Amino acid sequence: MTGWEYLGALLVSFGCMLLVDHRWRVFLWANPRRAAVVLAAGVMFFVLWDVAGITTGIFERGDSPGMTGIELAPDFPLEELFFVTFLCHLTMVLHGLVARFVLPDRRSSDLAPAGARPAQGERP
Amino acid sequence: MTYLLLNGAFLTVVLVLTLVLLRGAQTTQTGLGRWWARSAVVFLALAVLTVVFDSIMIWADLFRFDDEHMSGMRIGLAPIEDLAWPLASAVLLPALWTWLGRRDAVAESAESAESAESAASSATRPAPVSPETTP
Repeated sequence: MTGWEYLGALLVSFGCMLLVDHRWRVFLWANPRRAAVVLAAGVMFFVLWDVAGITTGIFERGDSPGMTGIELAPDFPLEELFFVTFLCHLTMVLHGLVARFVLPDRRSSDLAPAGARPAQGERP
Repeated sequence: MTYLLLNGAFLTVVLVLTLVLLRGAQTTQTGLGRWWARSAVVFLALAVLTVVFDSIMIWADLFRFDDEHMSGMRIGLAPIEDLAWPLASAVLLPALWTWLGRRDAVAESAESAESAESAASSATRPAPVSPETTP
């Protein structure tokens, strides 16, 4: 039995985080080139970690009916690639939001009151 | 090889890469302490999400772990070993982002210094910039 529930859930979640990214321009919409490098490096790193876990026999794919059944390699389902991409993007969006709203750069927050402060983060 | 050991190897790589990428970062606008604090907040948020969604994903049988490689410690259904993933992500990726940003800023300031220099040489004579340069 196969299905699209897991991939669908991943794509919906990823889409939502892309909307957040777009709304506050914190990662892909702050600096697309720099963000693409970070995403590519992160995805490669986590795929390597996955492959290490699979070859040592620590990870196995499950038997859920909610997966497409498409495997990119033995025990490496298509969904895992979307999962690590989502994880990397989510991490960087959270980081951008924290850097803007929770722990902003001291200098700019010291210079102007919160209301008068220009948008921080990347140059457009 | 246990999952903990595998994570130890990967987290060591993460730590080394992060320290290399952050070398000299304290000279930027954001202090290093603030940088690590941001990553700590991101990690805490990701850790909560990991515990919740890892549990759901394991319950749904999306993936399994071989018991003989596991410490057996779990929060909900999520093995504590899985928290190594958000930890690595919250530290390494922002470090790379920061490093790329500094590299861009350095390249940009070198460029603007170059154009300022050529502008100055084409002018009749640049005004003295500091008392030391005035004879």
